[in-house]
Amino acid sequence: MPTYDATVVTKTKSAGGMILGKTAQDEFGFGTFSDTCAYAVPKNPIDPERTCGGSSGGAGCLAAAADFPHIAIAESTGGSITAPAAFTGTVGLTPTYGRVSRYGLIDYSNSMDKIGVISRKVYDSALMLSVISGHDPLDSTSSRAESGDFTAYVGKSVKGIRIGIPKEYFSDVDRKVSKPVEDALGRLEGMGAKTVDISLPRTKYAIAAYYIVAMGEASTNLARYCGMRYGAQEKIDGEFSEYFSSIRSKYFGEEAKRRIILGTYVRAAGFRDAYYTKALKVRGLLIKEFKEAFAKVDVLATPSMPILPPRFDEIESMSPLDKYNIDKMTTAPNLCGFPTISVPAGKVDGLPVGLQLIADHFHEGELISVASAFEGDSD
Amino acid sequence: MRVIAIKVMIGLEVHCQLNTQSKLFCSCEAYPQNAKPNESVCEVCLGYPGAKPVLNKKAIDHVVGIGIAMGCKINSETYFSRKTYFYPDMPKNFQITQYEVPIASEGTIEVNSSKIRIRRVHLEEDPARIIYANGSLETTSYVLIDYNRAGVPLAEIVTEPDIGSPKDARAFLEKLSAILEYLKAYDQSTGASLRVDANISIEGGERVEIKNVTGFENVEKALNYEIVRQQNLVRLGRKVERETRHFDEVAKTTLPLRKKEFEEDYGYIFDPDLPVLKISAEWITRIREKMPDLPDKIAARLADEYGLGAYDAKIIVYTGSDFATFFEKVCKIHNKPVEVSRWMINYLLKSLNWRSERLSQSKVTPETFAEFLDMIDKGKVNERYAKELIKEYVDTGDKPSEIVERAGSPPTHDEMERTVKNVLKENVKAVSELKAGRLEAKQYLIGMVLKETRNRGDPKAIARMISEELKMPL
Amino acid sequence: MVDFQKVDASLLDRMCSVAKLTLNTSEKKKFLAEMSEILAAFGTVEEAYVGDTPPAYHPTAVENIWRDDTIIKKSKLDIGKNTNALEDGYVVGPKLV
Repeated sequence: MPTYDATVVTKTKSAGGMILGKTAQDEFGFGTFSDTCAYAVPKNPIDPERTCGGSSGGAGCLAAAADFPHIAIAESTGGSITAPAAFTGTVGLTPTYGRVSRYGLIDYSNSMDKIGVISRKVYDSALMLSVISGHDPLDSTSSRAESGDFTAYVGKSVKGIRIGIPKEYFSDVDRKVSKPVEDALGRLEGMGAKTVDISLPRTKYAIAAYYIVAMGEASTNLARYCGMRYGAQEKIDGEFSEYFSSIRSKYFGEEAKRRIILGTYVRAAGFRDAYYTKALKVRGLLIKEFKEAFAKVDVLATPSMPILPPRFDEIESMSPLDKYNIDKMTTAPNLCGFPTISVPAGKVDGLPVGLQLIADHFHEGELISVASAFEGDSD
Repeated sequence: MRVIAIKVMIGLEVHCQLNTQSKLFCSCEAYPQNAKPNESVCEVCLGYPGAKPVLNKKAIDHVVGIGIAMGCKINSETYFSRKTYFYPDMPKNFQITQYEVPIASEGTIEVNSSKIRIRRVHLEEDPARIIYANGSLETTSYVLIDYNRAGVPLAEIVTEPDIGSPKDARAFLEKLSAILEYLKAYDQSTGASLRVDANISIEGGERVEIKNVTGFENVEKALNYEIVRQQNLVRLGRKVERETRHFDEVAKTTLPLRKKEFEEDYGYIFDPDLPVLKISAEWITRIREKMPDLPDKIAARLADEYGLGAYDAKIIVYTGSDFATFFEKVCKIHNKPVEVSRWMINYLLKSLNWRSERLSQSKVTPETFAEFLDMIDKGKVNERYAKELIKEYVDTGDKPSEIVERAGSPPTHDEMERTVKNVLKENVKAVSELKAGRLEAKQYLIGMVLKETRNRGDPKAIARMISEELKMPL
Repeated sequence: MVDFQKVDASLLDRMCSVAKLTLNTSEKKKFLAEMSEILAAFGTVEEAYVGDTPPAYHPTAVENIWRDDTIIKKSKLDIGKNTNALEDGYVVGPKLV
């Protein structure tokens, strides 16, 4: 039971927003398919045999299915806004790291967690972003970058906008997904945008670096859950080590346990430099690589996800590593804190495909312009 | 006392609760007075999900100051780390501390002519306070936790194992605590405390850590006990195990803390909620300029200005800044510094210690103390009587003149004469010895008179009366 | 160079001990198999040449964030809202040894 409001909630309420409730997500945000939700698993409104994506699956589901004006607040660490947006055919806006205060956000990976928006229209995401952005003295990582009204970027022309196409994001992707994205880029060119071929060769290290840092940080964030003061508790009995182990083992889901153990491992003495510290250096390298690209282009364009929304039985047969690899379109920009937006780029076999746009730090404006232009053209 | 002639290496880790209003990472009151348990807490210091830390600037300033005072290098880029381990007093089961790069490193403090190297001074948060619900550490069936203390800012000062004896360890702690106090980084009056972890190895053997000892006397006792314990083990041909122990204040022994199947792996990461701290040269200069004088410097000044011996000046200064300030105030009224110093060190301090009271907490004032010394000077109160009086003075804080009056008027000249006559009559042996030329007998007789008058009366006048009675020269 | 693939049962046990998790036999078997695979995949960072790139603790540059040393008395937090394990205002916890 929360004893305080998150800053995002306070801002929403001050702006006159009505909080309807909470939506389902993977436990602690650990997942790409919302298949580890504590309560029921959200089913894709387009095809209930299929996933909504995750971890903000419930948000995506509601955004797609609600027949009343509604905007969902969602969270992304490695792509958990983009995945549900792509799989439910909605708009998912992941702001720059530090753009939105994390105060009150239950931590997964503090150097990568970002609160964002899932909505039907780009305008709604831009509106919500304007409400929830801004410096917060309660969050030491919160940025002082100018926020303001992001809806001003809606409807701007894309003439002359340079869109980079990183080739690494189009290899090893289901053709059913890359085709609509390529078509989308063609349409944007038709509106006056210029596409530029780009290479981001260090992309191949992104998933490993992402998961090392994310699990490393997560394993410390989850240490506080030990049956004291809040959460699952049982009768205090026995010595603390026994009590803590017993309660944690009983109440954490399998994926949470897996990530805690892996996260503990990458931080452990003897492994820390090779994994954790190295991954942080790789992050530095990746940021540099992206920044070099942004010197040449305004946004990057990729498919949001490498596959169409899978069925639940397909997900069942995936190994944990298979699942981690599904994040490969989103991990690099998320690890590096760059803002992204996912817009519906059409349907294949009746299933939605998302176009992901990535911009430089604090350049959400460009994302909103291009996305809204594309959305306007699609209508 | 047995002198132990074996090679002892002692290192200390001192945790000093810093003098701030609010806690290290949240705005809760750090030292609430008369607070009930869990009254000065919030979601941050309770480690509730979603809460995030924000650094207290004053705490950083304090640690920079402490580093400068110890001649440390102040690191220009410093970070906070998460030290992850599970314990019931840990709100997050990780402690935010500084592992890789502390604020200050590589300094020295000189104690009893040995240079003790300071490895580092860093900033970290205090865990909560545990009390045993029923019984002791070993026997209680559960614990009770008060989070009022969780998040209080700590400066951790770590020495190299350069300290050579438990006595030196105590001297080091006394000097360190005085420095911290003069820096205003540490203020006992708020309830802040210093806790010490002591590491000791003998003859280059395994290191034993004694955790969380409060009170410098206890640190010395714990270390003395450890030396004996370890020597006994060696004598029995057993190995000294590397372990962590705690000090039992009642039994005055050290006991093993917990048998662990493995060594803790703290899995340090940089705390991702706290950005890098960059300390500029200007910042360091600003702190250096505003720094108050440190004890050694003040002691030298007192010795110089007031003509005190170096040793006495040090005692006054190291007893506390309130003591040193008091000394100077008294000297302004009663300008006999050596006398003031003598009475403060030898008598006032004793009475305060007996009451376990600090000068600043007591009822003593510079004005009344000066009056006290003045009365002694003018002969209104003799020294022996004054030494008794001082206890009552410290107890009540009443004006000395009032205390003397309460005790009744001093004996009149006639009363004195009568008492002298009685004493001479009753102490025949002493009288004959005196007449035989043994001057000690005179002292004895004066003493006997004073015993009768409960130490009232001027010894010189009594001596004169004795001589007159016995028709002897003075 | 660390051998990323070598994750044996004793290492898993140790990690579980440190993280205060107890796995049953079937969980251990499952995790052991998965972990070796996952950690080998994580091992690709080993191949990345980073030169003298410093570790990037945060993706966007922030430094020197702090607040003034003032007391802000928030409304009294009711610990009882989330736990019944209280005694005389103290939080009840498991014993230490």
